[in-house]
Amino acid sequence: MEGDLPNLPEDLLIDEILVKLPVKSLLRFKCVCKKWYNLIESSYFIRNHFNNPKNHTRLLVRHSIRPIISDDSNSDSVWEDDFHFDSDSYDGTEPQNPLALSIFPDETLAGSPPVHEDIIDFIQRCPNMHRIIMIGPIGGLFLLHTNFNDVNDRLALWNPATAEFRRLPRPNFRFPMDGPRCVSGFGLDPLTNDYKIVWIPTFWSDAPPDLAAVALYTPGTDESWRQIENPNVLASLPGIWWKCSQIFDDCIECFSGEYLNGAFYWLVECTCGRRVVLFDMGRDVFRKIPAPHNVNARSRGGNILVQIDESIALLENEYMWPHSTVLKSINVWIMKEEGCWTKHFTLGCEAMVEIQYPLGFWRNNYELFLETASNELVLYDLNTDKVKDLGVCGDEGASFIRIFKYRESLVSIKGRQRESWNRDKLRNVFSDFLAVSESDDEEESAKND
Amino acid sequence: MSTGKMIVLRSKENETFEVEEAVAVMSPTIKRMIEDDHSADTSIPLPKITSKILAKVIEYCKKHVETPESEELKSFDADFVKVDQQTLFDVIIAAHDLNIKSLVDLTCQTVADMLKGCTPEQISKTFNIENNFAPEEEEQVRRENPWAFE
Repeated sequence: MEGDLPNLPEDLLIDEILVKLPVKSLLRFKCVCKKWYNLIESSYFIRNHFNNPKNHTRLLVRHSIRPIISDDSNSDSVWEDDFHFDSDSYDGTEPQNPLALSIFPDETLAGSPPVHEDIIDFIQRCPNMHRIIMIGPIGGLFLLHTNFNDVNDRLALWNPATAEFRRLPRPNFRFPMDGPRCVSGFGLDPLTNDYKIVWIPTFWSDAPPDLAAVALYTPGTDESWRQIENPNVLASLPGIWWKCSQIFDDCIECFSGEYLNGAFYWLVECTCGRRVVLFDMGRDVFRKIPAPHNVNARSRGGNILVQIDESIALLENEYMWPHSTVLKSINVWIMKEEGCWTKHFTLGCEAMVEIQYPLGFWRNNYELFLETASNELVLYDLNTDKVKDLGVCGDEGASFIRIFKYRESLVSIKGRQRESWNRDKLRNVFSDFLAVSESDDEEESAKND
Repeated sequence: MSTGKMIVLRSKENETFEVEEAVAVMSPTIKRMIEDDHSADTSIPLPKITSKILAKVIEYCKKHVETPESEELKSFDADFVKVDQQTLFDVIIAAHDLNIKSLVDLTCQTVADMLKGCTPEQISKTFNIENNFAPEEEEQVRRENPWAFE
């Protein structure tokens, strides 16, 4: 690639060529010259790059790795050393096999099972993968939230494309000892384009949740999170906690969350049925929305909120009979306007392969991901009735498959302090994030005594 | 709805190229020039585009007017960009000037694909860019994302 070539006009080079490059190449090209460094860091370029049609949406899947049955006792199993499965404590909520993240090479989800890539390779062997809740991606970032059933829930941000990972400092407040787990939300403030995190720490304690914390992150600016103060909070509480008791008063359990257009939505189980709660990230307020009135409050579970076209939808599962794990049909309710549900259609599941759960729509409103009764991930096309096996599977028991529609982003979460991240360091940081620390062990064994 | 009207395009070397109107108006720039010019006899001057490059652009537009979206068209596009780098860059500039978006996209994607695996040094050479980082500064930048250099 040498020679005396006519220089391309700069705007052409930037707007038509550079913007089509993958993140890894662009991170390397930051050293070409100072101008390119500043360009690649600029929010203008980052936004154009992210939104470029060539930045394809790819399917990221969390799934189980089933062992390859082999008679060879010397066979090398990839997770052998890293996965310690304690069968004594197995209670159906832990996977029997290690979980992994995989990413399909392109949008067609074609051919062979997904490929391990740079961006997710280093977290593949984390033994506690099932303890991470991944929320997002929002603008290429994931919010990771550990779920250890104890006081040490942790939050972090992760950009897989830039291999950046950042712990979120916890608000300085002692949680009650009866093991709250936090529920969180993650999205963008539509007015400022800042990332916002909503953190509801007391969801699982005896008292209904009445406190929330909201943190704000502006990429590349601050070194630490800014917590937003709510002027309505009682003076006796530390300023960063918000009272939200009127929102979660009668809530028992919180299910899936989904971000769309400036608000984060949760599906919540209450004493009187189901409800959707949203946090409006523009106005910084919570709101309650009743679920569609026919939604069966006693249904076994698996109802989820997903995105369809540009609206929030509730997928209501109807099972064959009360304790069945096989779906009879899925009702798709769409909320085009806040508070107003329409039953968009009902998908009858009896004619196809046995289905356990819907997982969400792909790039449109007619391709739906489903987990079959034998825990396989398939893509069902409502128009053609075709079912495509994607070659990945979950585990028995709870649903361990998660799907994410992922696009690469250059957004940096490192802040002003530049740290060097090589693969080993990142792997260590991730492991620390997931490690059950000593003090946790003590508490755990104290509880079991 | 072809009127059968032929448009004459004139290259930098003053060579003329006759093309159907439907092909010529793939370029909004040329389209505007046709609409602005009420005398039917004048040719459209394109002084910045050489005959060689103009011929290439016309070849692209003709094929895209004649052929619907298909494997055949994809195959044509793939072969179309198999040219030397100088020609490719010249076509990019011409397509940009003529505002033929699909051609700009195609050729720029080709360049992006070529650049994907390059080192910063190769980029500097290709685009004649001087590296104005001091050695320790550059080292610092490399350390920000060491894995990207593997």
